[in-house]
Amino acid sequence: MSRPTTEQHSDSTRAWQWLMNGWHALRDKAVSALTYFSPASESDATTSQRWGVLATDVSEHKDSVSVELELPGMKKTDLSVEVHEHSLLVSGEKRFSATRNEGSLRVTERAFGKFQRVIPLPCKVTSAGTQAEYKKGVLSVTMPKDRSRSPRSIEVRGQ
Amino acid sequence: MNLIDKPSSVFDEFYRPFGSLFGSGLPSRMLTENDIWMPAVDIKREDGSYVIEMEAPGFKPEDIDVEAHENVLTIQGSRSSETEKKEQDYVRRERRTGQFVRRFNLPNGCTSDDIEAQVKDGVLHVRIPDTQTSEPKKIAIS
Repeated sequence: MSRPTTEQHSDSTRAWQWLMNGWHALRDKAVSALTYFSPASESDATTSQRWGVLATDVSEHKDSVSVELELPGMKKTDLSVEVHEHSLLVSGEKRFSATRNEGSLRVTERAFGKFQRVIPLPCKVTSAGTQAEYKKGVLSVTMPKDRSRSPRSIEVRGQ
Repeated sequence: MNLIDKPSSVFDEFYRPFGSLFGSGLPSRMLTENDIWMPAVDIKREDGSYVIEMEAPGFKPEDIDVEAHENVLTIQGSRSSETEKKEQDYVRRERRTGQFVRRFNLPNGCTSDDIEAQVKDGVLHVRIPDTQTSEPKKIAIS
C-alpha cells in the first residue's frame, strides 16, 4: 500500500501526540490502578499477563464513602475486603476457567492470579455498617464515615 | 497442515494502534484518555470453536453489540457513567466511560451464522464455531 508522504507524516505526528497524551493520562489518573497479579503456577505465568488494571472509582457522600472496583470474572468467595481507618484493602485471586490450557490459547491479554490493592480514602471510615456487593464484575463497597471521635485539640507550646 | 493454527495469524486485529510497541506488557487500552478504548481479551480454542473472552465489568447485555460482517467481527458498546452520582462527589476516577470497540478478522472456516454471545460476571464470552476443522472443504480439479 503506497500513500503520499505528507499523509504519512501527519499520521505519525498525530500518533505521537496520541501516545504522549496517553502517557500523561496514564501517569495522572491511573498509575495506581496498575496491579500486579501473582500467578498461581509457572505455567499460569506464561499464559496470562502479570499486570492488570484494577480501575477504581471513589466517591464521597454526606455520610458515606463508596468504592467501585472493576474485577471481571471473579467468584464472590475469592474476594476479600478489609476496611481500615483511612483505606480499603481489596485482595483476592482471579482464577482461570477450567477449560483454559496453554495449547488452546491464541491471545492472552487478561491477568490472572493473586492480587491486592490498597485504596486510600478521603476521610476516616468505620467497618461497622459497611456493605459490599459483587455484581456484573464490579465490586461495590459503601462505608459509613466515622464521626465517633471529636477533633483532638493540640496544645500549642512555646516559650 | 493447518495454517490457521499459527497464533499470530489466527485472529488479526486490524485496528490496534501501538499494541505492538508494548509487546506483551501494557495493554494499549490504558493509553487513551478520551478516545475509544479497548478492553482486554483472551482468545482460545474450545471444542472446535474459537472463544473470545472480553472484560466488560459493569456492562449490561444491552450495552454491548456483537456483529459479524464479511469476516470481520466487531464488538462494541458504551457505558454511560451512573447518573445517581454527582461529578463533584468523585475523589478518584479510573473507570472508563464512553465507547469501546474491538475488531477481529475471522479466520477462514468461521461463519457468522452460529456465533453466540453471553455476559457473565462482567466478562463477555463470544463463541465462534469453526467449520473448517470438522468438515474439510473438497476442491474440485477441473
